Amino acid sequence: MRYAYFPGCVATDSCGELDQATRAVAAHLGIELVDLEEAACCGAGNLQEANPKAALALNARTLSMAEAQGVDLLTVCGTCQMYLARANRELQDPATREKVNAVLARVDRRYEGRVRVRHLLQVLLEDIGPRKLAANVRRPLGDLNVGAFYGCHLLRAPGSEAFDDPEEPRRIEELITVLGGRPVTYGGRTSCCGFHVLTVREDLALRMAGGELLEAKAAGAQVLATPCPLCHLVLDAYQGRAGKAVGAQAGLPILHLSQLVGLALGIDPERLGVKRHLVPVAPVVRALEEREVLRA
Amino acid sequence: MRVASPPRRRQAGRKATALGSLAVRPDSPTFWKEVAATPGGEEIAICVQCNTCTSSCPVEVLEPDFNIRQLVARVKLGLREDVLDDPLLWACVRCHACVAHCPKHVNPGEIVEALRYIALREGKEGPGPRHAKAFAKSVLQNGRIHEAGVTIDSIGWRGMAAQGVLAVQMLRRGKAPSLRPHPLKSIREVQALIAAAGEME
Repeated sequence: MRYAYFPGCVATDSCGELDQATRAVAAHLGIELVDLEEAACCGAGNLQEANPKAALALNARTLSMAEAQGVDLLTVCGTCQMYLARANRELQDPATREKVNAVLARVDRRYEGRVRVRHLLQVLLEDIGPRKLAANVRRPLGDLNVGAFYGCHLLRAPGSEAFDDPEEPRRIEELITVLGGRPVTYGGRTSCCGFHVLTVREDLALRMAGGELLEAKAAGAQVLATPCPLCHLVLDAYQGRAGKAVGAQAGLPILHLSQLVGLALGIDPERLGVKRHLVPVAPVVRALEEREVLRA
Repeated sequence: MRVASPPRRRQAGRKATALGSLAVRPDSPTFWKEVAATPGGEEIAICVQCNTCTSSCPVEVLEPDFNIRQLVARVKLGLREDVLDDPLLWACVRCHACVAHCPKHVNPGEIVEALRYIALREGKEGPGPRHAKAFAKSVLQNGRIHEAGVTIDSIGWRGMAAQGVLAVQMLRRGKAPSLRPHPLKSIREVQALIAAAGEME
């Protein structure tokens, strides 16, 4: 199993623990990651607004890098998934592709439209599969109540509807169950974390995130699992401020899917970067370690 | 649990955003055509104002003055400057709920993208444009996002000071974004591609 790995910007900067965790989980499950060290940013919507042609050309370049390796692209971010998949959809149109290829030719690249953009969640459930995952679980999530926080972009990326129902998603819950945990559902799980207005309207972002965190807490969640570094950043690092904005602190640890899976697989929590969180993950780790299945 | 919305209030200095207001007059009756010719805005003509978009908008719940249906209506009414100068144009979180739910496939969220593109091209200013420009600058200089740089460019040092405690907490957890940008080795190629893309039709 081989993928061109596109961690995105945030998972290699302030949320570096997610890149670390993804690599650890991939190595554990025998997934080979081909680094696209020279890939540019997906644009995250901002570049699409400021310079849409540049955004399309840069994403075509990233896709061409994966195509040159003969593999699909792996993302660990809702927003990267959305904007790369959107560019990929546009590039399926032969006229658009030729136009973009004329520009790519100036830097000696070409894209034929053969790459699929896939998120870690899809690879875990479809390529690795529930059986192999379950067989590798060493720290079953047990009685831990895990709330999925889907966020917006993973569900609304072009092509996602073939994998999950964007209105009533269940794939993260499925993953939680495979890892032996107890999924908790709540209304805000498909809502927005507010990341995309964090620097423009922080008040708005914080009220959004704060409301969803309290909702998850009220539903009994003890930890939230996100598929996205941007949700991860807001829900973890900004949780204290979000709590202030809505008048109550949720105190919910946040785990990216790579970390949740890594913990369940028995990978050393330090290698999953859990100490880099602002809301301590230690209580979750302790609870899991008590149930750890020790193998010779 | 739903968090109570703050009381409705208009932003200072703005006349009105509601339809039928006498304070705002159409200045460009064909504005909708300009939007329809901009990527993202193609389907604006077929909007029948059913309000499905606004009903699915997570921003509207917290900030009722951000009304995406009315935004589309204002474009069609030709309120060009009113729309492009509206700071609320930058309150959309790009969640694409309206895009997913619109029964006519008007792509309201992508109309916002088109409007922001036009606003940026016209040199509009404010926190929204400032962030978009900071982001684009980081891509042009580094090929990727230098989080610290984009944040400082977006909210300024005063905004950074207001983040005080959080910055210290992140620093303590080894979570502070790198102060130094790390441009791609192939940054020249990225820059050449961005320049070439500008000539694309």
